[in-house]
Amino acid sequence: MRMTAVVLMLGLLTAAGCRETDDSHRRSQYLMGTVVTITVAGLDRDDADRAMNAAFEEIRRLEGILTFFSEDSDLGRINAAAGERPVGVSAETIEVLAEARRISDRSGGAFDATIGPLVSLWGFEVKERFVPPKEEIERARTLVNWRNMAVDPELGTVRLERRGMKVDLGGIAKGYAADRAAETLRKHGVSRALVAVAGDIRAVGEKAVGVAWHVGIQHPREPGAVLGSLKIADRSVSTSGDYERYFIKDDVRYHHILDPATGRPAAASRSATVLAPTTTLSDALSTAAFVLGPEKGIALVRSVPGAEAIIVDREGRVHVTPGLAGKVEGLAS
Amino acid sequence: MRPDRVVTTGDIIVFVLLLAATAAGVAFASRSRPAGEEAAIEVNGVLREKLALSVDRLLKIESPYGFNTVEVSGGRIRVREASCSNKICAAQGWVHRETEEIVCLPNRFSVRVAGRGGEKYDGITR
Repeated sequence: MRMTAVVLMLGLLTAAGCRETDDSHRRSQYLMGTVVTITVAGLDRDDADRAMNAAFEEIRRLEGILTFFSEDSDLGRINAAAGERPVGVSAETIEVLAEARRISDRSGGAFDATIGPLVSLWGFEVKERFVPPKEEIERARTLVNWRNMAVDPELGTVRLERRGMKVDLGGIAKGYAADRAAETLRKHGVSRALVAVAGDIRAVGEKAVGVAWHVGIQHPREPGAVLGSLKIADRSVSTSGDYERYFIKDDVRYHHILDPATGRPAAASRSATVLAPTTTLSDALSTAAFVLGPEKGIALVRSVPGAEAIIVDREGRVHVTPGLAGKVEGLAS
Repeated sequence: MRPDRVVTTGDIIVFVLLLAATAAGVAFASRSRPAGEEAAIEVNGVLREKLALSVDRLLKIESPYGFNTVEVSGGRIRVREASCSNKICAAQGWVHRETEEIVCLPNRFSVRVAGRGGEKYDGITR
């Protein structure tokens, strides 16, 4: 019996510590103001490199179209013509804005691509950190309303109804880019890959036969620790959290995810992780779920086919959709 | 003479204790990422250095985008000094767990901690 116990324990310890061998290729580039990492498995180095180069190039191309920071981009031209006239844009811009509108409708505006005036006011894109005066927040807030953004797929035009309106795709463009990069990889013969545009992650196929991609969920309060982890294949996952970009002033944490309803950083959650069939969807839904908080956020995600969520509320309690119960590794539930 | 007992009370106590210790260890390990063994330093997505976290050292990485000075000490790594405008990389402090990362966007510079036998996670959603 003593021997049996020892052998059993050794076996358990070994199983806990072992890892599968890995034939994957991983590369990173700086695009869309963040780090994009692509991992390709099941191909030799040269084929993987060719596919990754094409995928990085696709993201670079999309960045040129969708960036908020250039007057020549589709977004720059739409914003410059706000309140004046419709602007002809690329099919990609129409696609991402039409999806943004659908998610805005569905979330009652918790996700809103016309959040631009508030983002500019709070200045998370510049160095100075300050809390804007109430009147300015109110003024910017009245300009935020997705219903005043007309997207016409047939004419290929977008029009912002009011002067001063601004589209900002910070809550959806990275997810869209991950989807397009995944498509590009597939066109180049890749059937196993993980595309991570910052924390917006798209899994193409499995990592190996019968082995899913293993994605950790960042713990919202403990750097270097995960809240839990997910095994995914042909699926996307995104997280919105209050810990990525923030500043603390007078003991209040001001972070970069603004609630369109109040014009201030959303206060109901610490983080929201969403699994969905596409990264465009998981990216935007994670923002919406974060803003809505645990109850309404879970209800929203449950109404979307194929979507699941894990929301950490402001007290640190974890809420999961029923479809994920027991499926998040390492999560006490 | 006392007959040989196949399982003694002591065996059971030892067994239960070992089982509890293993369960606690597995639960702990699955939550925090394991400590890494080396750090990969990249500039603009290209690998520049791989540093063992077991060897303390100070290293200045220069590129057309600027410089970042990294310090390895006691199994951890940090950016001690940088030429970038916001110093977010230096403010982040020490990292040592697998897949932990320090990114300096202005300098297109990153430090990523890895284990020797591959990593536990393929990606981190954050």
